Formats: sequence, C-alpha cells, structure tokens
Amino acid sequence: MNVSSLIIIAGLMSIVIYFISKFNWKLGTALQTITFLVFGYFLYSTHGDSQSVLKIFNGVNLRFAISDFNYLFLLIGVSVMFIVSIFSIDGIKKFKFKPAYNFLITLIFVSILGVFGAADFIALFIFWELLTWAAFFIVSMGKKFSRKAALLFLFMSMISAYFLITGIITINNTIGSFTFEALINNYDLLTYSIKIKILIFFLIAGLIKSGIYPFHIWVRTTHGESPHTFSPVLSGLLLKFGFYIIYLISIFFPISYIISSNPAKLISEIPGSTFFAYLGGISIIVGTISAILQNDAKKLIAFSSVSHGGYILLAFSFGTSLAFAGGLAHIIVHALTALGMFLSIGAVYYRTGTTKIDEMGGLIKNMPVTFTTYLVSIISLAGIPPLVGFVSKWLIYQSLIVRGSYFLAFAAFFGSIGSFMYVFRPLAGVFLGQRPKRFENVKEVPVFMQVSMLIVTLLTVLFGVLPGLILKPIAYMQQQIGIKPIKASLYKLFTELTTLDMVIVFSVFSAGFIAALIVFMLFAKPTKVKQHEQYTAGEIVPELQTQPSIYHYAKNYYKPFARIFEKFPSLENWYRKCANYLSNIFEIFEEFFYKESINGYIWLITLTFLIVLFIRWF
Amino acid sequence: MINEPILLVIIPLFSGFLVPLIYLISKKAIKFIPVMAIFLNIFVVYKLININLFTLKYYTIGGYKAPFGINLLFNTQTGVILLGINIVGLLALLFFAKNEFDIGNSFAYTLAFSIGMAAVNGMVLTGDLFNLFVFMELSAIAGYIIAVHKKGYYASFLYVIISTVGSLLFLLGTITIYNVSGTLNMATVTKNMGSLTPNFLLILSVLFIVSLSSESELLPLNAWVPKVYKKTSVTGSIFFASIFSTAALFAVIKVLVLVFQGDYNYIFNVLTIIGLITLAIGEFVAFKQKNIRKMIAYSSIAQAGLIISAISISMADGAIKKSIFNAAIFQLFNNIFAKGLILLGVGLIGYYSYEKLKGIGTKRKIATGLISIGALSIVGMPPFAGFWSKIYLIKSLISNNMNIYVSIFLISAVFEVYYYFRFIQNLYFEKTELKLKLSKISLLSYSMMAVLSFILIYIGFNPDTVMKSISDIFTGGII
Amino acid sequence: MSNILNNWTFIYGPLSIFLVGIYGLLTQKNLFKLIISINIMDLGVNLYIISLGYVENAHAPIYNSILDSTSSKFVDPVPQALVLTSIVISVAVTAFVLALLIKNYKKYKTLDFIKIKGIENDQ
Repeated sequence: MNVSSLIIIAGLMSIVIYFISKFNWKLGTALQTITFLVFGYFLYSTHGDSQSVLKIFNGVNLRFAISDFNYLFLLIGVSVMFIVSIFSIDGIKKFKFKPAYNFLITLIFVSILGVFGAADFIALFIFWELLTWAAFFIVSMGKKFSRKAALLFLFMSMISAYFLITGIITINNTIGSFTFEALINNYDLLTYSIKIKILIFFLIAGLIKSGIYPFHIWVRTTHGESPHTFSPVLSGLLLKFGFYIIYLISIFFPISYIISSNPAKLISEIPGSTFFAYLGGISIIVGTISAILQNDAKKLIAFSSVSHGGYILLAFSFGTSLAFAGGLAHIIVHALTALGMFLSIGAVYYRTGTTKIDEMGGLIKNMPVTFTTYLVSIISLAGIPPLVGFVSKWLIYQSLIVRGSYFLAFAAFFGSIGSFMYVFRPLAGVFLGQRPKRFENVKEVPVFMQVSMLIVTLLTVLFGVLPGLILKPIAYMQQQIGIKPIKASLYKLFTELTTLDMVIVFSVFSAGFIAALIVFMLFAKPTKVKQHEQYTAGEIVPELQTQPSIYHYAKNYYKPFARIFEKFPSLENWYRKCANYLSNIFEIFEEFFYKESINGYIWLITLTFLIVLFIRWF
Repeated sequence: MINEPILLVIIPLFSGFLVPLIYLISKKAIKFIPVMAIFLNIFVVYKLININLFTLKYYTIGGYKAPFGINLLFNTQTGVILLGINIVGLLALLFFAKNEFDIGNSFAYTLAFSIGMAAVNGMVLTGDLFNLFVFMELSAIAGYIIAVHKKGYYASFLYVIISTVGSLLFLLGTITIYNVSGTLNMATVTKNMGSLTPNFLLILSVLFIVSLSSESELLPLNAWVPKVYKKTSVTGSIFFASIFSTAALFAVIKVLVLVFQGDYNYIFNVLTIIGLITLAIGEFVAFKQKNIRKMIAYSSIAQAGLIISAISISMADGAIKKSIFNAAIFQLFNNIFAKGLILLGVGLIGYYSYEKLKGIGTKRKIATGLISIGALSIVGMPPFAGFWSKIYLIKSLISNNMNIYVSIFLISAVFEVYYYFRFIQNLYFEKTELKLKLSKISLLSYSMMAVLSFILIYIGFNPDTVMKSISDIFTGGII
Repeated sequence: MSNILNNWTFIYGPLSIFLVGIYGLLTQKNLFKLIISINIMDLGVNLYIISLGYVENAHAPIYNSILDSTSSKFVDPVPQALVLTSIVISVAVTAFVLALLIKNYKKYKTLDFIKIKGIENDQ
C-alpha cells in the first residue's frame, strides 16, 4: 500500500468518521482507532522503498515515498495517533464538539502521512498547512483561554509555514523542481549563498515549529489550554514536525557528499552549527527552569517538551554518527514520554476536573494504573536505566564527551537532573500525599484509557531492554542518508568508547528491585494511617479540610528555587509588549487614514498626487 | 446573434428599463427582473466562452471600425472573469429578492442593481477610454444608490464626493490623451503616446493612478470603503466587495496594459508602492476590527492593493512577467467568490458584530461551516482556491527576485490569517447569546452558499485548469 | 501675447476653475458647499474639454449649404459630444446628491459634517 492511496482513503474516512460520530461518538472513535491500526499495519508491512504519486490536484503531481529515511517517522506518527485514539474512546466524553474533533483528528492523521511520507516539497507544504488549520481548530476546543492560545499557535505556525514556503520556492527557483530527488541530483547548481538562505529559512521554520528557544512561547499556552486528548499529539508529534524539517534539510545538503563519514555536514560546517548547539543548550536550561516554576501539570510538561527539543537539536547539530542516532532515538523517547505523561494527566483530569497540582493529592490509591504510567514515564524522562530514556540520553552523553564542550555538557546534565526535579512535583503533588476530601471517591479511568496507558508503559520498558528495536531502524536510516550507521544489536549498544548490554543492565536492575522488595516485605511492617493524617504528623489543622490547597505539599514546592528567578527577564513578556505596541500602531493607522473629515480625505488625495508628481520631477 | 458580447450590457440595461414598467403592474414582481436578466447574461457568457477564443477579439459597435468607433474586447479569458462576476451577481440578487426586498423602497434599489450589473459588464468589456469613463460613472451612480440601502446616507454622501473627484481626474486624463493621440481607443493610443514629453506623461500617468483608485479601493481614495460596507445592505456589500471592485480592478489592469504598455516604469513603480502600502495598512487596520463587515471592507482594500501591486510589478521594466500577472488574476478570482460567500453567509445570519455573532456555529452549523470555507480560502489554506493563488504568487515573485515584495506580502498574510481565524473562532467557540433571534435560512439560500463553496473547492482541486484558462488574458497581437 | 491669452483661456483658465473646486472641497465644512464645489470642478473640466477641441479659424462642425466637405476646417466635434455626456452625468449626480443631502439633513438635523461625524461616532 503506498502513501497516496493511504492518504485518499484516510481523507475519505475522515468524512465517514464525522458522520458516524454524529450518530454515536464512541462508535466513531472506535472506527478511527481501527483505521489507524490498519494503516499502521500497512505501513509496517511496507518496509522497503515504495513510491507513489497523488494526482488529486489537477496539474500538480504530488510525490510520496516510504523509504528508510522517513519510515521511522511515519511509524512514530501512526503509533502515537493510534495510542491517543484508543485513549480518546472514553477520553473525549466531556468534549463539546465530538464529531468535529474526530474529523479533525483524522485530518491530522492525513497530514502526518502527507508530511512524513512526502517525496516532494509541495506535498510537504500542502499537508503542513492542512495540519496547521486542523490543529488550530482542535486547540480552540479547549478551556476558556484556549482561543487566545490557539491564535498564538496559529500566528507562530504561519510564520514558520511562510519561512518554509519561501525556502521551498527558493529551491524550486534554482532547480526547477520540487521533488527531493531533483534536489539531490542538482545539488551542485546551488551557490553557497543560496544554500545558506535555504538553510536559514528551513531551520527557522523548523525551530519555530519545534518550540526551541527563543520561539518557545507558544508551547506553554498551547499545551496548557488544548483539550486533554490532544496535548499528547501536540507534544509527541507536532513538535516533531519541526525536527523533521531540520532533519530533512540536514540530510539533503550533504547527501551529495555521499561519502560515509560526516553527516549533517552543512549544519556542523557553517560557523553557526555551534550556534545551534548552544541554542539547544539554552533551550534545555530555560525549559527545565521554567518547568520547575510551573504550577499547572500540563504547562510543566509543555516546558519539558521545550527542554527535550533542546536535546534533540543539540544532538542533530553535532553531526557525528552517534549524536545523530541519539537525536533520532530521543525523538522516539520523547514521543513516548510525552505520551505517557500527558495521558496520565489527562486521565487524572478526566476524573477530577483539574490539572492544578496544588488542588490534588493522594490519588495513588484511586488510580494505580495512571500512577504507574506516570512513574514509568518520568523515570524514562530522567534517563534512568533500564528504560528507553536511558538509551538516548546515553548516546547523547557519549557524543558530548567525545566532543568536549563544557557548556553543553553542563546543560545536558543540568537538564537531566533538573528534569527529575520538575517531574517529581506532579508525582508527589498529584499521586502522593494528602488526598482532598472531594476526591475520595475518584475511580480509575475506564478501560480503554487504561489500555492506552499500559501500551505506553510497555513500550517504554520494552524499548529500554531491547534498544535494538529502535536502533536498528535508525541504523538503516543513517545508512540511507549517508551517515555511518551506529552498530546496534537487539540488546547491545556499541559506541566508540564502550559497549552496553541492556539485558545485563535490566537484570541487574530487576535483581536490585527484587532484593529491595524482599527487604521491604520481610522487615518493618508499616503502620497503616489514614491518608489525611499522614501529612500533618498527627496535628489537627482545621484549614486542611476546608482549604486543602493552602497547606498542600506541592504548593510553592520550589519556592527557594523560584526566588532566584523572580526578577529574570521573561521572553514572553517581551513578546507581549511588542504585540501591544504593534496593536497600538495599527490603531493609529486607522485613525489617520479612515477617520478623517471629508476635507481630510481630499487633502490626502491632493497630497498623494503632489508627492507622486514631485518625486519624479526633482 | 446571441454571440455578441454587447448583449451582456444590453440585457441588464433593458431590464432596468423594464423595472418601472412592471412596477406599475405589480410592485412585488420587480424583484425577479434583475435575477432573470443576469441569468440570461450567464447563458450568453457561457455561449461566448464556448467559442473558444484565445486571442482577443474586437467587436465593433455600430459598424464604426476602430479607432473611430467603440470596440469591445472579448476573449475566453475575459469571459471567465465575466462568468465569475455574473454568477456572484446572480446569487446576490437572489439573496436580495428573498431577504432584502422591501416593497416600500426597493424600486430604486432593483433599478440600481440592474444598471449596476450592466455597467460592470461594460467596464470589463470595453476597449475605449471614454466608454470606460461612462461605464465607470454609471456603476458609480448605481453604487451611490446601493450605498444608501438601509439608510446609509452619510456614507453614500462621502462616497459621492470621493468618487466624483476620482472620476473627474480620470476624465481629465482621458481628454489629455485624446488631445495628444487623436483617438480614444485604448489599443491605438499607445502608438501615439511615444511623442509625449516625459513631464507631460508624468502628469498623465499620475492622473490615471489617482483616479482609478477610487472604485478599485486603493489608497488614498478608499476612505469610503469601510463606511459604505458597514452601512449598506448585505447585497450591497456583496456588490461592492465582489463585483464592483473586481470590475474596477480589471478595468484598471486593462488601461495599464493597453494604454501604458511599454517603458513607463515610473507609473508602475508608484502603483506598486501604493498597492503595497494599501495592502499593509488594510491588513493592519482589519486586524483591529470587531465588526465583520468592516473587517471585510479592510480586507477588500488590502486585496485590491495586493492585486494592483502584483500587476504593476509584473509590468515594470518593459516586458510583462506573465507568471506574476496570472497569479494576480487568479487571486482576483479567489476574491470574487470567497468574499461573496462570507458576506452572503453573514447576511443570512443577520448580525455583524463579534459580540452578536458569538458562538453562532452551534445554532447554524451548515451556514457557519460554509462561511468558514470562504474564510479558509481567502487566507490560502489547502485544499481551497486561495492556497494555489498564494503559492503561484510567491513562486512567481521569488523567481523574479522581488524579495522585499514577498516579505511585505507574507507579513501581511500572517496578520490576515490571524484575524480571519479569530473570526471563525468567534463563530464557533464562544458562548452564544441566548436571546438572539435568528431567522430561518431557506434551502435556496443554503444552495447559493453551497454553489460558491463548491466553486472554491473545485478551483482548489483544479488549479492547473483554472490557471490555463486565465493565463495570457491579453494576448493576441496586443502584447 | 495671443499665445498666453490662448493658454490662459483654454488650459489654465479651466484648470484653475477646477482648482477652485478642489479648494472648496478642502476647506468647506457645510455639505451643501461641498456639492457646489463639485459642481465648480465639473464646470472646470467641461470647459477644459471643449477648449481642447478648438482649432484656430475653424468652423462649427456642421455641414450646411455654405460649407462643403472639401474645403473647411472644422472644430473637433468629439470633445463636444464628450462634454454633453459629461454634463448629463454631472447633472444626474448633482440631482442625486442633493436628494441625499435632504435625507441627511432630516436624519442629522445639521449640514455641518463635523457635527455629523460626532453623531456618527457616538452611535
């Protein structure tokens, strides 16, 4: 099955799903899930090159291809959508516009196929734009502030889209064609200055879309305000689109070098490559610190996406085989982790109606599956073995050590440690600690949501123990694009410095776990205490019943830390000030040109006439 | 007999004369007259297009050959524009007949619509400068009357004053050209213009630039646009946004191409700058609007600026850069239908401010959906028509190295996307005001909107066909 | 000398009338005076048109028994036709705008557009 037929079928399915969802939304969502599963299977079984042409636009041939370089991205896209779709079977119960939501989600699926499967820049751009407006409408469906958030998202996306199209058309201008193949074959036609221009356009487009500093302002509000079943898609997939663009452009430019050594040569060649590495590093630090300061769980995870984007950019800009593999692996890792975290927070919201950490607590007894998912995700996020997060972090650290940049190493380690700081807070605040009275009877989420969370947990562990499952496709990818592939077997990682056998790691870890478990069970039986008494050490605090959030464990959790950053300049404030300034200027334009008296208009006319005359005359 | 383009002017004009006659018989029946007239018009255009004229053909009027008599210029490409104008005119008039016809005072408006359509068809067809002036005045008068619909007295007055200044300047320019070259025929004039001194030419060109700006909504003569659009009826605003401005833009393009062909760089550069400023200011001011009609008014201004600047940039430096020219005409097309669709939809719903339109999407799902299609097409989202017009524009501009132009265009486009999407968001995602009375929308009205949406989607999926049929609109021995 | 007189009568004269009209538009606040300014502009343009058609020592462009078709010079008839059209148009527009003026007066009770602007902005 080739991509173009998949796209057409998916497009038609979106309309079918819309109408079925109007009739019965659960049926519609289930149909959507099955569609995604089937498509995933088709994609999975089409390993090997396949090319296709889509001719729905008269006169414009859109080319698609499934090949090693985009196979992994396609799979990630479809899997994320599939998992989220299972989650949505129950998760969208409280949504207002269910049929439209399903329709738009399927459209996003179509655009994922279109963007990742494109072999042609125009096809890429068409589906990129489709994605932008479909995502806009979905984000608007969220809570009260989601309209503004959606508009900000739209604004930044349009800026990125216009940079992208300018870059694409600049390529077309010199080469005369839009296809990837033509770019590879005619690479030498591009002069150095045009290469730089194209690179800058594509990179800015990609950076804005991936939420790297200083373009990260839209990430917080969009993730925070969008509907809960969409945030995982936003974080797990949409940010990856930006990286896909960066990935594409960095493979096109050096592909003609063909020689098996340095990949992404252009990125690491131009003086700016270190610039991008530093940008990545700054993103990591800013993302981590901002995440630590957040009180809303979703915004916190949004910033963590920013910081992990920084890791990926860092990895891509090094240019070594190891780093590139690490970056790609981290894309997968981040997708899984973001999925896990957002799904569990979404599940909590489904049952409790809030995502503010200081309003919740002690839900571990009520929602054990959710807790497990979240715990596994944050362990993976922090890069602790034997989960999958460790694999990518390890690869990245190795390349950092080889390269030897102090600042970047500091940034990376800071990111890891800091990440544990901020992810622990929702864990403690939401799942551990005191449970407010109103949440006493909260139940676990319905079956489908649990199933999707379990899938995520399973994948996280599986890929951690058997990293070859993701590293082998990555190796194929690298081979096709001309980078020396990393050596990986099913459960071993090979690098220049050392080898790592994940099975041994896993067995050591499990042995330790079992040992701790045995110790726990044999000795010191715990005394069971009522959940609302454990925090205050027995003292009765009346406010705890009426206003539990004042004494909440997680409130002002990091206040001393936050105090350091109180006076720091905020990029968001700066952007907001610019927007206000522009808005005022526009109002001045209106006053000046359109609110005049009749005399004023005639003056304007005469003035224009005279100016036009006299400029030429003299 | 039916293959004469002059019919396109005669039929609506004649129906205008019929209106008072039928009024004496039955006051209600007059609302159907313009509808039938335009229906016949569409039929004539269709037949004409099928003759498949790809070169410009001159139709003489009254047997006087050029350069002494008046010619009409028609080819398949012009026919396509006429088709667009007439289709939107038909839909607007149907809407008028159904929703806005009010026995007490619609005699004047029916008349005005008929004559307006006649004048608009004439503007697109004519090949003679003075004839253009007459048709422009005719459409302006029709416009004055239409602007008064629903009590827009002061707005119309303003429009009269500004438009008169424009037309008088045009007349001055035309007469000067006549004086110099001895003929009023657009195509023949070029031969004799070479003998003019540069200064004289300058004054002439400036006269034309300033004068043509009025109806085509360019700075500095477009102050009337927001006021008139806000006050007039919905049919009226459809007429202004889609029909009059398109015809006027087309007439401007015709004059520029035929009369000022050659090395008149200064005019084109000035027009480009005026167009770009109009584009930028139009989008920026539209950004702040909270009334949908004013928003569309400013958006209309901005689009007019865009098209004029694209056309004039394509004609600077002597040779016409066909790709930019064609892309601009494509955009003109997108505008006709998309603006008409949005205005029709909003008119059917009946309220125009953001406050009142909040959350209407839940109550009028289909109408809002179709309005959204119109908005998506204007801002250039796939798979609608506007997407391709943007791509063609950017492509042709970059291939001609007009980088500053592209940046201004794209920056304004970002703002345009923002405010149109904000509009759609307002329709769907805010809480509705419960007490609003909404009139029922009939099946006929839905089908009108559906026709327009279908055209937009059709163009969206067939960019090549449409592009081929509009390309080289002025070929055939002229250029 | 006659050249200057010619120029003044035929070109600068009408154009200055036109400019008087523009001056009126630029400075007058009363709606009715604006209409009169427009009429003055029309007057100027029409005069200019006619004067452009003038040929020295030529006859009116009418055939009659005295003049035959081969000998005489005729003044250009085309501008005369154009002017007729233009006059008709300006009459029609003036009639319309005067009616509009009456309606405006009935609505706003004033003919001073600054006051009207004030009322408009308050609405």
